[in-house]
Amino acid sequence: MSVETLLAARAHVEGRAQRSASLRHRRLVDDPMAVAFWQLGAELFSAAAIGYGRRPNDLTIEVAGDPRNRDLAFRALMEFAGPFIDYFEGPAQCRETITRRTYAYERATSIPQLIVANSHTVAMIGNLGRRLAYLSTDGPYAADPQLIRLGRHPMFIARHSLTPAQQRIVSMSDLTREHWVTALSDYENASLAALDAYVEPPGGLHGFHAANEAEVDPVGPQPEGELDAELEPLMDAFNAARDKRTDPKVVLPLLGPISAHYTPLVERAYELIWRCYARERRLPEAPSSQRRFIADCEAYTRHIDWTNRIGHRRTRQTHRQAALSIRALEDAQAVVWAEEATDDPLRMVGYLLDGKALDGEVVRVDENHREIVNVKRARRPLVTLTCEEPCRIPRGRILYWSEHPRGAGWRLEEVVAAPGGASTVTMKLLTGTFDALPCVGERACFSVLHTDSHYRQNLPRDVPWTHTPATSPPAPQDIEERQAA
Amino acid sequence: MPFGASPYHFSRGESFEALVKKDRYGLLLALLRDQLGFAIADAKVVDLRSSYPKNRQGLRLRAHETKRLLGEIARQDPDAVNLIDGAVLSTMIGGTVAYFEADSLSARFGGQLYVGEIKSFPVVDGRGDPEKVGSALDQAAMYAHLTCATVTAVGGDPEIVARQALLITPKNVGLTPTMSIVPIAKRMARVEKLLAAAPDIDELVARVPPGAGFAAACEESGDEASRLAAINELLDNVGNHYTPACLQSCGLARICRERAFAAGDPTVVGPKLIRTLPGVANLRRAEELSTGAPPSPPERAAAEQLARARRVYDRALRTPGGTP
Repeated sequence: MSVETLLAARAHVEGRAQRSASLRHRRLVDDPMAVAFWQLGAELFSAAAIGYGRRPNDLTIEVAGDPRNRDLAFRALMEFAGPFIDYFEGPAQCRETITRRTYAYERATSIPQLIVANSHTVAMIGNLGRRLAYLSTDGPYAADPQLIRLGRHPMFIARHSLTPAQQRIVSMSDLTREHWVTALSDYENASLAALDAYVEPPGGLHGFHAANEAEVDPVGPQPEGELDAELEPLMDAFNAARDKRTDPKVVLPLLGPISAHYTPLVERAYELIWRCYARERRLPEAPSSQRRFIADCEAYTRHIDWTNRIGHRRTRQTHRQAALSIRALEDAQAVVWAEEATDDPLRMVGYLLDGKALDGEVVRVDENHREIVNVKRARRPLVTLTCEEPCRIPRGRILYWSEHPRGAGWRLEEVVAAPGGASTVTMKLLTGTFDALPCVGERACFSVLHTDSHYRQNLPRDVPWTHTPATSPPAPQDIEERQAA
Repeated sequence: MPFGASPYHFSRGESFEALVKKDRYGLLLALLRDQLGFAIADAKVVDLRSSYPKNRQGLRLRAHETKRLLGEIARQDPDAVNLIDGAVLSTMIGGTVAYFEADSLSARFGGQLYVGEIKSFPVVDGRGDPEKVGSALDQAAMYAHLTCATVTAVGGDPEIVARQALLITPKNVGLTPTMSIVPIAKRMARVEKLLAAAPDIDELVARVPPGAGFAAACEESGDEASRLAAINELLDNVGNHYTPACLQSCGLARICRERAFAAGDPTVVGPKLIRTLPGVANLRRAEELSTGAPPSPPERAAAEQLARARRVYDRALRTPGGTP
């Protein structure tokens, strides 16, 4: 039984979503940039319409016309490139010096944060970055260097988005799903409009019906068949009128009908993004967001410095890199889960139900308990709790106090069943040096979760012949078609 | 939630297919030469797609012709074709003949027979969209399995059918075709099991109540309410099996979803929730059980878990910092 089952049943009965977190587990910065994209069906590497802005009432929309045409697609992206690069590179100017023993380095004090509707938008940003970052700067199809610079940032953003709980790009549907449970399916929850409607159903409507009404209007970037069917005659008329010309003087006056098609779509997505941002921002921020924010600042600073010096990154990892990356991401995910649960009592509920944690009221603390450790007597404090639920964790298991998840482990020393399904549990701290202990009369929680760094995997630098692929991953290259579009 | 394919999907698909086949399949044959060692002489192509009427009779004739051509290939006839465009393969599914139209079947003289699938999604850095690649390979596995069956039926050796599919897709942002050779043996085994497990159509039809049908619901002159009532009556009589996956492909899914919601059916949330509520009829009952309502014997196991979940969750809410 997961807590999601209980909350889904409750959401169905009460007609609105239930909170699965009491804190906000991501930092939402004061000055994010909201970005909404729409693409043409099947055109995954170009944007038909881009909406962006740094305030809810400050939306700028760029429309390509026909994004299948390279010149038209790049023209719209060039309009976006200036404000985006200014915003994205701005925080890199303000740095602090960090000293680690004998080593000192600089780190940006903040990050640019993109807020988008959903994970499809994150993927699309990655696609745009992949297309632009390796464009050729010479020859008949030489691209503007500004466009290449624009491409390198989204590539980094999309790659960094794989890092668990990163805060550089925040998909509002993912963030909302992390904090709320609805009685909708995963497929329906992927729609930001439906999710938002279930969280805050308007006018006494049941969340289900509110979501039903809201999901009819998609938020992009992928269009529904009907939307593109409406666009098709407008695009045909546009292409006929421009007669293969791509000069902005010719194209811009012809964009009216296509702009009118996309404007309400972009406005709706943009408004939804800001609405969800404002709602989630009202919640108090989880303390562990600070650690992740610093990690984001460091990754961002490295990216900007790399972009200024070289800028090229691999598009495919070697087997060795992939193994190390997966391991690093899994470790990071384990730490994030632990941080979220130890920060937030509602996040801990799942672990309590799964028998991976116990909590109760502290009834006795023996700070000076001593016992023979190896050959001499050492202090090993004991803490006894009265738990309302039966303890399902076996004796001898090492747990961590959620107030000090980086601290030493505690061994589950004794479990005594009490009447009414309750239990009395004694925990023993496995060290004699400590900063704090649980206090009598307070509640304490012990779980398998700890936020100390995990074992670091090392692989041989030279890959053994058994794991050497027949061909190396392809080097990054320009993916443009070499003939006129 | 995008529903329905964009016209630009179709136009891209058609443009790409036309490009691959232009100049008498020049680009496709070049890919076969480069990657599978086809000889210059291995260029005998037959286009079944444009040679027959586009109806069921045409499919039947094309299936017959495909069988004859596959027989020639299996016998290593010197006049056998190397590429069949629009091959039609037939099989019995649930007691009914079904026809499947493969994009291409290709064979080097004396070599193996490959199923080719032409798709217009791009492959960049050697990778395509995993979902689209998966469904294209499932499609190819179906054709390969049926090709094996057809070759066996004409007395040939089914081992001549390669356990690899040729996936022909655009490379990078443009439409330049590229070919990926991908193993499909496991997918073929799965297709075989799926086809064998298909229920018999006649048995299904026999279970439908007399007079039940979509006629009243499809009556375009009828008003919306009466057509909806007709659908609901049909579903009351015949039953349905709604899952959230229906929303991606079925035009009636929203009606079934509304019915599931009205009944509080856990399926509105998905299969994961159903598994955690064994014996519990609906979500409202699950909520009642969590508050301590006496459970019936089948509900007992879930009720205990629900009540415990509620106690722990509510206690967490009362913890300092636990209230949102």
